[in-house]
Amino acid sequence: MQSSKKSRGQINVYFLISIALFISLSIYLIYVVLSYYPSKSETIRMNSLNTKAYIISELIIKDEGFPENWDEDNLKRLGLASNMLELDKRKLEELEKICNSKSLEKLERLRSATGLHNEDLSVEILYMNSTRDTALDCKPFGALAESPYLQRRTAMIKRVAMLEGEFVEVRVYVS
Amino acid sequence: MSVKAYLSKKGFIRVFEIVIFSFMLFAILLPKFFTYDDPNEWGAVKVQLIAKDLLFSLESTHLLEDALITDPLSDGSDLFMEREKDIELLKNLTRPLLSATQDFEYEIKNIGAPIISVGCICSSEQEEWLKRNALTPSYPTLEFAVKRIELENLSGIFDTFIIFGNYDLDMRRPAIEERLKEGKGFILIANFSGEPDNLTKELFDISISGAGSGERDLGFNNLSNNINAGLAKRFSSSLIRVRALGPGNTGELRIYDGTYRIAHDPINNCFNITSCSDCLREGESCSLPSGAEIKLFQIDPLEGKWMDLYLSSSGANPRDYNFIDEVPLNAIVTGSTVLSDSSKNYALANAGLPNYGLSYDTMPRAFWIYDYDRSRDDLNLLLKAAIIWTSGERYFMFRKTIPEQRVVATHFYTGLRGNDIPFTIKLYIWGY
Repeated sequence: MQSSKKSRGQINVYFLISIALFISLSIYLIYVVLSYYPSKSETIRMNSLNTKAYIISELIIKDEGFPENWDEDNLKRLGLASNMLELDKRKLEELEKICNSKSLEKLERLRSATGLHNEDLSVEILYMNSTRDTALDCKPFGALAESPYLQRRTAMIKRVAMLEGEFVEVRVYVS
Repeated sequence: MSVKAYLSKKGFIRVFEIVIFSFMLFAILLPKFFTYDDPNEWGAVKVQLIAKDLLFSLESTHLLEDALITDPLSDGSDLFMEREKDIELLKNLTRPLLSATQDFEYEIKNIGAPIISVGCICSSEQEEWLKRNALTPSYPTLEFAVKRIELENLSGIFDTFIIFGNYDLDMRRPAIEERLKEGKGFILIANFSGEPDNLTKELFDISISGAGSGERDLGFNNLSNNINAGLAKRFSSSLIRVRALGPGNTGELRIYDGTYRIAHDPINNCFNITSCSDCLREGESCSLPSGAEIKLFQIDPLEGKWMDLYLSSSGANPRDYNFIDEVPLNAIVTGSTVLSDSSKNYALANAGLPNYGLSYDTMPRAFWIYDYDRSRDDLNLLLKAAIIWTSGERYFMFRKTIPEQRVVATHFYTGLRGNDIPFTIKLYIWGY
């Protein structure tokens, strides 16, 4: 009987169920793969940004920079420290000049001095007193953390250092 | 046979379908078989970075000293109120770095706690003597809370226990070991006429040979040993109170082989001390003929009836201090000997860390000293240094309950106000 049905182009009901099951499982498999990939990709991206923010924060609070007495015109490697975890007020002022500069060349030099390529950088330094005065607010590439979209894709590392005998909080944002 | 004809065979198609279906099912369920740990620990790392930076920065300022040491006040105000203000500094510095749902605690190791509680197995006269002559404030320790107890009833509320005289400690082994496992310290002040019991020998590393006594020069034994050096450092950085209760605020300072007359000068607020050319003011030092150096830390601000002194050697090494006393000569020098006679044959004080399988932080500390002449100020200072040491020198700044899930940052410091006694601070942070 079956062979006669086949010859008439009729399809077995078991075959239909199998096809439906096959298609639904295939769709589910594709859904799982597609939903899994972006979250991991996002984690990897944030790990990379966090790592870069950490490296820059280490440079800022522990390194003198290069040249040792760098200024806004000859910066090669960023570093704000005079000693370990002690920031140099003069270097803060030099960095502020670069941050407020309209010169694309200086901004690109700053990006290169921090080892960044396509990422943007912001540095905030706040006194840890009751009024939380700002010692430095450097946003050379615009405000990073203001839009919620950018906030999700911004890594922030907070450090503690000294500036002229006072405790300051150093915040490094990379996005 | 052609391929078409081969595939048309029923059995092969069924097997082929089963294989494909099983493979798909496996691929779909694969993520469910394994738990993928997310290696993203940046939350904890960021907290650790802040904590480590803060601890490091504290080292380069005097803020840590201000927070850990409450200095005496000239108006006799409550020191504990002042301490609350001091630790508020640490709170104000740490709080802004954390989110509202995070909390923190500082653990200090190797600095005497502000209050050291001492269980004294002694007579009421000995208790009174301890309170009056030996256990006066020695900043950062503001108070020694001494209470007389029975050896049969060793409460866990005490940091250290002082036993005056000979007891069969072996008979009380379970109770003593229970406290040792909690990291509590033990001090024994006793002479031995024969072999002591096993637990006394184990705890204080006592080894008896022969008998005898005599007046001897005494000194710290083997200052390259960590424990001995640590005790010698605590000796020279702790304060001894010398009282001037005689007419016109006069009294005696007994150190090494000399007795020095002291008299308070109320007009210049200084102390005249025999052999010191000038009237000694707070912060000033004087070298005595015996080779001892005294440094006046504070004069009783209210009545001028006492002065707090630092004692050290005036030689190249300030910790190489010499004592003199009539001593028993029957305990021989062991690896734990802190104080020996000048021939280095006889032990007069031993110190050790009895092994009760705990970590360094909670390791109990034990100290034995012979039954010395308690009118000698320098030997009283040695006992005081030993009491501070055996207390375990471990405390929590804010006494908060620390949960299991927390981040800990540890920093090692080389000393507090130049005392060269290394200490650690652990900063615990928890929450999210």
